[in-house]
Amino acid sequence: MAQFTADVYQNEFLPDGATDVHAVVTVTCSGAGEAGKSGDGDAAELIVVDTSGSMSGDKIIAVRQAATAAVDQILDGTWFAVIAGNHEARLAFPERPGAIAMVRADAGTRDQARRAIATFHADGGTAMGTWLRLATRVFLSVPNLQQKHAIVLTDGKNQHETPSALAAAVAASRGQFQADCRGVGVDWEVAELRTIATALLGTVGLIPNAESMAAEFEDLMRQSMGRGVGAAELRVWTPQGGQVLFVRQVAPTVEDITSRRSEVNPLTGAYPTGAWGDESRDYHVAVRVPSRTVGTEQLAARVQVAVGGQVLAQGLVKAMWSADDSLTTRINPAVAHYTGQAELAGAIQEGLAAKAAGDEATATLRLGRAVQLAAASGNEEATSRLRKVVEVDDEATGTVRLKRGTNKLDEMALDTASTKTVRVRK
Amino acid sequence: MNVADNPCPRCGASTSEGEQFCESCGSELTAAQSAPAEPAPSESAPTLPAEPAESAERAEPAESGEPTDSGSEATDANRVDEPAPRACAACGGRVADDGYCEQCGARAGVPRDHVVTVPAPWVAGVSDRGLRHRRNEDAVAAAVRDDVALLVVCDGVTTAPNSDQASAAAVTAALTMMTDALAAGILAGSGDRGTDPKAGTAEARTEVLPTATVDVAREDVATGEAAPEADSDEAAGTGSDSDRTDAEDEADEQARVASLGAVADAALGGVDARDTAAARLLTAAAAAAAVAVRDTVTPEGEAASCTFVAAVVVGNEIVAGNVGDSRAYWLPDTGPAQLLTLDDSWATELLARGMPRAEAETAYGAHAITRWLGPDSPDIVPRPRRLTADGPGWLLLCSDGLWNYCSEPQDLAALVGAGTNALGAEAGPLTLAETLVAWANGHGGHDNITVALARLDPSPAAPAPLTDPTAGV
Repeated sequence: MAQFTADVYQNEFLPDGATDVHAVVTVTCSGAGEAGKSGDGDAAELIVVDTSGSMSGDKIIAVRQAATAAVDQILDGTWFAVIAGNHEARLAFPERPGAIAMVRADAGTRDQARRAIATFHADGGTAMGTWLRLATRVFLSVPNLQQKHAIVLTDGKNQHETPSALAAAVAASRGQFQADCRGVGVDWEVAELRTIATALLGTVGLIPNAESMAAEFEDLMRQSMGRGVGAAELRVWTPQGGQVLFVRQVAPTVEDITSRRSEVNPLTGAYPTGAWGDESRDYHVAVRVPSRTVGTEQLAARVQVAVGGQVLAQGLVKAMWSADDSLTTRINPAVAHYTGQAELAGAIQEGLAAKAAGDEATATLRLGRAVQLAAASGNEEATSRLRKVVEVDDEATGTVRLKRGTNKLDEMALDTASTKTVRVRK
Repeated sequence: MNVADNPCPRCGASTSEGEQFCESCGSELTAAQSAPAEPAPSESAPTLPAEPAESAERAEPAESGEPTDSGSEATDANRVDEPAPRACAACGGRVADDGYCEQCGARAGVPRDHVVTVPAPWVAGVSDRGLRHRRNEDAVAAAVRDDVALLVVCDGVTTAPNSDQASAAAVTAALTMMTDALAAGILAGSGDRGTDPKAGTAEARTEVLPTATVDVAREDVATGEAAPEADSDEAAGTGSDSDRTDAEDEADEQARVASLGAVADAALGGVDARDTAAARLLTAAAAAAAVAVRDTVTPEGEAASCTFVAAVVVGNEIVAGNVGDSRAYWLPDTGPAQLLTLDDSWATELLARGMPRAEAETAYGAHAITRWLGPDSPDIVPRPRRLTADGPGWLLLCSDGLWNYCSEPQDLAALVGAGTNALGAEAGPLTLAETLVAWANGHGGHDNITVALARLDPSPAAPAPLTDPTAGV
C-alpha cells in the first residue's frame, strides 16, 4: 500500500491587514509498487504513434523500433493497444476488424503487437484530435481500469484538423487518460503538444533525432509501469470566506493546475495529479483569507492527498498575524525559489515566442530575465540551454544578446524543458 | 495522579508521568480542567470589566471537591481525559482532529491555553496564553489541606523549545514534593509522625534534596553570562573581569548577597524566613522542580528553563520564595500592600549596587533574569520571606504577564480592590484571578499571564496557627 506524506514550507507570519498566504507543499509517495498491482483495478497502456507521410525514411523505422521497445516494457497482465495515427486514427493492435479492444500483455500478445508494429508505413497527414478520440474509446473498451496511460508521438503540426477540432478532442479526452507527449525533429509545435500534454496530466518532450526515440519510449513505459498509484488528487481546503489564488506544481516541473479544480465540498477543491510512483513533487499553494487581528492564528489551508476518495496525507498551511516585522518580512526560501522557477519558465516561453514573432526587444528582455533567474537559482540545465540561444554579457543583471543563426533544435529543447525546475534545499 | 499506565487518548501510545505531550503523536496530555476559549480582550480597557469573568463553570468539580489523603490530589497538570468533540469558539463549526475549525479555520485553543485550578473555595489559580504568544509557557498548581495552602507558579523561558513542558513539569514536581511533605507532617515540624505511611517517602525525598541542590554550580550570577531572558529581548550586561581570583570572587559574592539582603529588607514585606520549616519546604520544592525541568530536555539536547515562585500558607502565616522574576504579593484589604519576593533580575542587581530604583528598572537589560530553574542555573534556593497576616487580604502569586502591567504593590492592591468591588458577591479567588487575567489581556496580553490567589481571613474562627500539630493533616 502506497504511503503519502505532505510537508509544508511557509512563513505563516503575516503583517496586520495581510490576506495572502503562500506555502510550498512537498508531497512524497513511497511504496507505490507496480502499475495495476494494487488490487484496485487494472492498468492500461496505449502507444499512439504518428505514421503520417512526413515520417517516411529513418523516422518510420525508428517509430517501429520505439513502439516495440515500449511494448517490451509492458508488464504481464497490463491491458494494452497500439494506435497508428495520420489524418485519421487506426487501431493497429489488437487488429480485430470493426472492434475496439485492448488485450492483456503476455509473451504471446507482445509478440503479436511487435508483428503489427513492423507493418507500419508512412503516409497521409496529421490530425491528432482523431488519435485522442480513438484513444478514449479504446480505453473505455475495458471496464474498471484504474490507470490509463498513453505515449503520444508526432513529428509535425496538426495540419489536417482545425485548431478548434483539436481543442474539442483534447477537452473530450481530459480526465479519460494520462498522456506523455513527444515530438521528434523540428517540424512540430511545442505549444500545441504542450496543450495536449497539460490537459492530459502528462509531460511534453523533444526527441531530437530518430535514433534516440527507442530509448525515450522504453524510458517512458518503464516509468509508467512503476506508478502503482493510478490516480491521486491534491485537495485544498480553504476557510469560509477564503479562496484559492492558485495551485501550481513546481517540481519536478512547473504546471499550473488551478483550473483543474473540481469541488469536493464548498470549502474543498480537488486537483487531479495523475499516477504516482515512488517520487516527490512540490506544489505551490496560494490562498487568500480574510485578515484577522494581530495575535490571531488560523488555518489558511489544509492540503491533502487523496486516492480513491481516501485522504492519505495532510499538510496544514497556517496564518498568524503578527506585529513583529522580523517575523512577517521573512520570505520562505522554498516559496521564493519556486516563485522564481515559475517565472523562469514563463520568461523562457515568452522570450521564445517573442523571438519567433520577430519582437527582438521583448525576446532579449525576457530571455535575459530567464538567464538571471536560472543563474540565481542554480538551474544549470536551464542556464546551459539558454546559452545556446543567447550570448550572455552579464548573468547577474540578465544582460544578453540574441544569438544569430541559432539551431531550431536548441530553441525547441529550451522551450520543452522550460518547465523543469531544480529543487530547493529546504 | 500518576498517568504512567494511561494510554494517549488520541493514538493509544503509552505515556509517562510528567509528559505534557504524547511522544508518539504529539497530542497534548494536559488536564481538561481548562477551557479552550481565551478571554476576550477588552479594547485595552484601563478599568476592570464590570461583568464577572465567566469562570465558575470552568472549574473542574474534582478540583474543588474534598481533599483526599493521597497527598497528590492537586497535582493536576498531567491528567489525561478523553477528548470530547469540540465546537469552534469562533463560528460553532466542528473542530477537526488537526486542531482547527473545519469551517472558519480558527485555531481551537489547546487546553493549556487557559488552565484553571481551584483546590478549595479560598484558593484558585488561572494561567492564560495571553494574546501575543503562540502557546502558554506559564504553569500554575495549587493544593489545599485544611488551613494549609500550597501555591506554585512557573514561567517558562521563551527562548527554549519546550519551556511550556518545563514549567508544567516544574509546578507538578514542586507541588508533589510539598504535598508529600505535608502528608508526612514535615511542615508542622512534628517528628513523631513515623506511623504515617507517607512519612517514609517524604523523608526519603528530603534525604535526596541536598544532592539535588548541591549539584547546581554556584557561579557568579552577577556576570549575567548566558542568562536566559524571561521575556525580554535584552541580555544582561556583564560586570566582572575575567582574571580575578576565587577569593576575590567569593568575597564579592558575599558582599553581593549581603547587599541583596539589604535590598530585600528595604523593598519587601515580611521578614527573612530562611530557617523555618516552610522555607526548607520551598527550597526542597524548588529543587524538585529544577530536577523535573532538566528532565524535559529534548532529544536534541535543547534544555528549557523556567522561573519559580511558591508560597506556603498555614493559617495566617505566609512564607513565599522565588527564583527568577515571578512574584508573590500580600494585598491586605486595609493597610499597605507588600511585595514578598525580590526579582532575580538585572534590575535587582543594579539596585543592590546602589543604583536608584527608577534608573535600575529602566536600565539596559533590566528584565533579564539572573536566576532560573534549568541548566546552568547559578543557584536555585528561593529567598524566603515570612509574613503574618493580621487582617483579611489576598496572597497573590503571578508571572510577569500580570505585573508588567501593574508592578507596584499598592497599584496591584487597588486593582484587586476594584476587581472585588466589581464582582460583588461573585468575588472569589477564581473569579478574581480570571478578572485579573482578562485585565492583563485587555492591556495587550503581550505575555502569558498567570495568577494564583489565596484568600486569608484571620478571625476568631480562623484556622489554627502554624505550630498547631494538627495542621496539615
